[in-house]
Amino acid sequence: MSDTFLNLGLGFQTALSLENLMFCMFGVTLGTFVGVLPGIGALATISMCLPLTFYLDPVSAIIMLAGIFYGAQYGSSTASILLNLPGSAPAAVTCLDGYPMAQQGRSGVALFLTTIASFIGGSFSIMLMIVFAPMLASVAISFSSAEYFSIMVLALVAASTLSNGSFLKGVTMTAVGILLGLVGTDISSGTARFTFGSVTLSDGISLVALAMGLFGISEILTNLSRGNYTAIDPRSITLRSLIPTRADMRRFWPSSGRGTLIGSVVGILPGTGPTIATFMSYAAEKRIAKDSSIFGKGAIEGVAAPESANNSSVQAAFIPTLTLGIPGDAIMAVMLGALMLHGITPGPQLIINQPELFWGVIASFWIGNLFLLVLNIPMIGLWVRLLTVPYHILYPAMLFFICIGVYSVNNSSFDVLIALIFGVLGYGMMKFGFSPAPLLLGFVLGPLLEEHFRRALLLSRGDLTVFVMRPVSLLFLALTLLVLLLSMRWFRTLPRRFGRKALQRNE
Amino acid sequence: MQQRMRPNLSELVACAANAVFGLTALVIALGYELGSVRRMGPGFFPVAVCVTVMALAVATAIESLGAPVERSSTAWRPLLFISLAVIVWTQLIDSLGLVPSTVALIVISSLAKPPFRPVSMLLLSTGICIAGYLIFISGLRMPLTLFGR
Amino acid sequence: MKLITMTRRAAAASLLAMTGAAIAPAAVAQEDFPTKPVRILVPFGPGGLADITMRLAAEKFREILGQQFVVENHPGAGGVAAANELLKAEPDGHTLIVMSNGTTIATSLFETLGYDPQEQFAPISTLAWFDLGFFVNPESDYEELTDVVSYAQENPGMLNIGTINPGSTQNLSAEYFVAVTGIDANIITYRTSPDILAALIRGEIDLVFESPTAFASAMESGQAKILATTGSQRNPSLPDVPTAEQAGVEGYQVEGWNALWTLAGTPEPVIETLHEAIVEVANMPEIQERFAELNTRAQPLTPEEMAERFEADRAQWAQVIEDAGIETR
Repeated sequence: MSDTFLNLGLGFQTALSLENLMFCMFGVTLGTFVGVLPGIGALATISMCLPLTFYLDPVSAIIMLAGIFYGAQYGSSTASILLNLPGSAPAAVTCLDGYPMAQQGRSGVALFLTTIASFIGGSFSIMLMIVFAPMLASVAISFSSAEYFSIMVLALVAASTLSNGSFLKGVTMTAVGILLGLVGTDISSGTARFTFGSVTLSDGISLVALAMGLFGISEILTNLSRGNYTAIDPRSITLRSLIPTRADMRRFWPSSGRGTLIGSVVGILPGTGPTIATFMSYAAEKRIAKDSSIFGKGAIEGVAAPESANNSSVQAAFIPTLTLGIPGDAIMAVMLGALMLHGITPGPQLIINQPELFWGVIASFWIGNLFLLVLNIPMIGLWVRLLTVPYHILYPAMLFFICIGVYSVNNSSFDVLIALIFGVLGYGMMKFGFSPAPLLLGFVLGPLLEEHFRRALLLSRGDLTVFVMRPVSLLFLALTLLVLLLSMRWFRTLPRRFGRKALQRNE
Repeated sequence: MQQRMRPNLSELVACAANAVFGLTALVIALGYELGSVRRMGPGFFPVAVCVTVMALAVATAIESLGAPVERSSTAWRPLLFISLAVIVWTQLIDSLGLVPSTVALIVISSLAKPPFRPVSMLLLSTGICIAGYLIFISGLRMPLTLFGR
Repeated sequence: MKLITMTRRAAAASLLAMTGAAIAPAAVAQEDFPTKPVRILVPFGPGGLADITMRLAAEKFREILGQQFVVENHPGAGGVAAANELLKAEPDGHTLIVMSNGTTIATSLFETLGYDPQEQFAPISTLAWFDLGFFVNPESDYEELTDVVSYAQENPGMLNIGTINPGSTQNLSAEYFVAVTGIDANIITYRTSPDILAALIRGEIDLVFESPTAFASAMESGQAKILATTGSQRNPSLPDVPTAEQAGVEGYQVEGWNALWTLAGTPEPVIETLHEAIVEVANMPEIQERFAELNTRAQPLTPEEMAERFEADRAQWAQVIEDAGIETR
């Protein structure tokens, strides 16, 4: 243990050099900027910067790339809160309450809390990483297809409770989302499904197009049809209006804490960690709240928990990448590639052979998070001013950024048309009380759900009991059942009715 | 309370749309190989999801029978001009380049919210084209041109 | 490190300039080609082996030819998106496309690919070559490749082979292996190589077909054991590992490559200029070294050799697809 702290000190020494701090700041700034723009994500930016890192030493390189990654995460929250433009599935959860807060003129508070929530989530996860990294990594890897299938079922059912309307409508949207996610080439057989012979569709529907359509374009349509969007009066932006009140903070801390916990537990799962963690933490907040009707209307809890969960899970996602050399997603894979270009092979040997690098990287994560805090809090006032732009100027500009952002992902104008279709669809859905968030999660998890379902059965040679025979899988399925039952009105009133009957009998 | 008794027509239409969506997908999905439980084909899972979507559509329809009717009107004007603006942009971006497509996008989308403001629109188009050039072409190296291919 | 002396803003600006398009070319070209920035269309997303090697090479092309070489990612099934982009361009050598052995598979795998590389495109040269490795869990009893084969022969239907996506080189190499050895095995597909590594560590699969690049750290840290490679000769970074043929699997050979092609009808001298540039880049010690770190080999081919290689690979994979009974799309 003391060794760990000695090494960590070494790490901070490495990371705190002036040069590294500069790269960290550059990465965070660039990341925030591309994160705010719809479309261009961290992945594309990191790939573009990859050749630059050949001229840097490995610690600087990874510090800069990680900075871009954090910055982009934070930037996409900003765009979600201010304009309802989520660049990724986790950011869509931030939209749910962050955007209503902005509409109520509380965008400054929302951004402020997001910054703090991210910092808390990130810091906690880093500490977890310092102490338990190798152990957590082996837990993460022991998850087989059966466990993945079950945790995804849980996430999907939990997400169906996200919307304020009926639970059934939420489940319907999840199922529709799963179906939309299946469009494209089937990962297990290579068959093209629901593509209508279109080669473009054989890679599936673009996630960015779907999210920008369902959230961004549909919101523009809704605002225009209501005609009651009012820009914020610049005079109302005072320092005080940007800072959360004491009552806000009282609601913030417990939510942020719960989000952090969920995030750091779920986040170690390679791949889907952050998405599942954000949706689950939101659903959990809603479930335990005394009055769940405040959600979706600008609840502090609805911003604090998922933001903390997102950042802590993002951080935890580095655990398998660094300790086992098994990256969870494409971004992690590129980071790994960056290290390998420098002749460094992440894996169990990394901590032993190159402690200054391993701990330097971990220290730099924390510094990156700190930088986000320092750089962004003064920026909040500027961001909020974006909303003082009159709507007749704001919405054509937003439309342009949505179009070019969606286009930029695959350089495809077809994707932009897809975004439009989902924009119109999303507008219709909102009118009938169908929420887009569960659809988005279904879309993201649907293909994975199928993949793991099929693979689990392939591995168990067709034995369906595999899902209940493995304890972890069984636990997730049991939790799913509990969430399902709690969503039924008759079940929630059950104890009360039983209580009354028992009372009557006693009399 | 009289509203309660009347079926909520627009809700039913939405449920019917879901059901039709599920049915269409089901018809397509039945064309894929179903396979066995041990080695599932590409059709198994989609068929299961389609059936679920349809069942849920029916369930939501039943649920909506008891719900109160909410009236809201559809704004056709924004729907039309926003759609048109995006469609025109996608048709022009690859052939004519960033500037013409973006100007078209802004002009057409501005029609969605009267009054029409020529001056602010011109300024906005100029500003966005410059920002678009600086960010996407110059900064992010996207394969776009200002005018033409 | 020169950057330390700069101010933060200057450092950021110079970094941005390096990522962004430097508007003025570094040097004015002497010849007629290239007269403007050259686009390299990569039919894969950013970050993959083909993408990284091309970005490395693009820097060097710029130094040699005095124009920007801009790498554009146009990912899409079978490279169709990138191919369509190329078909829109003029045959003047200012637009290049990355072809790979994956394209030779795609021509047989897709019923209507929408383009015919052998007709519509012109070869310039290969750039990077790579082979695949046969990997097993180090805790398993398999010592040699033939051990795996005999296990599969004794226990039909029990051997699980893991590869990435159906139709990938790795996946078809596994199909090819099953066909050549005549064993009965389950080929289980995963989304990414890390997923496969995790599955191998869990003991979910017995044998993995993957590039030594993807499994480099796994090998070093003892998470995966390599039994053989698929190439015609031993992998230079793995001199102790036999090829499949040396390990006793007769007639089994798979080699992958990434190459640059352009539109058919491009003038001969332009292709010649580009070819010479690739030869020069491939022979640079720095490139050789970087590529070796990625477990690939930088090696050019003449345009004629390239065309022959493409046809040979196409014929081989067409046979594998037919033998394995893989449905064309």
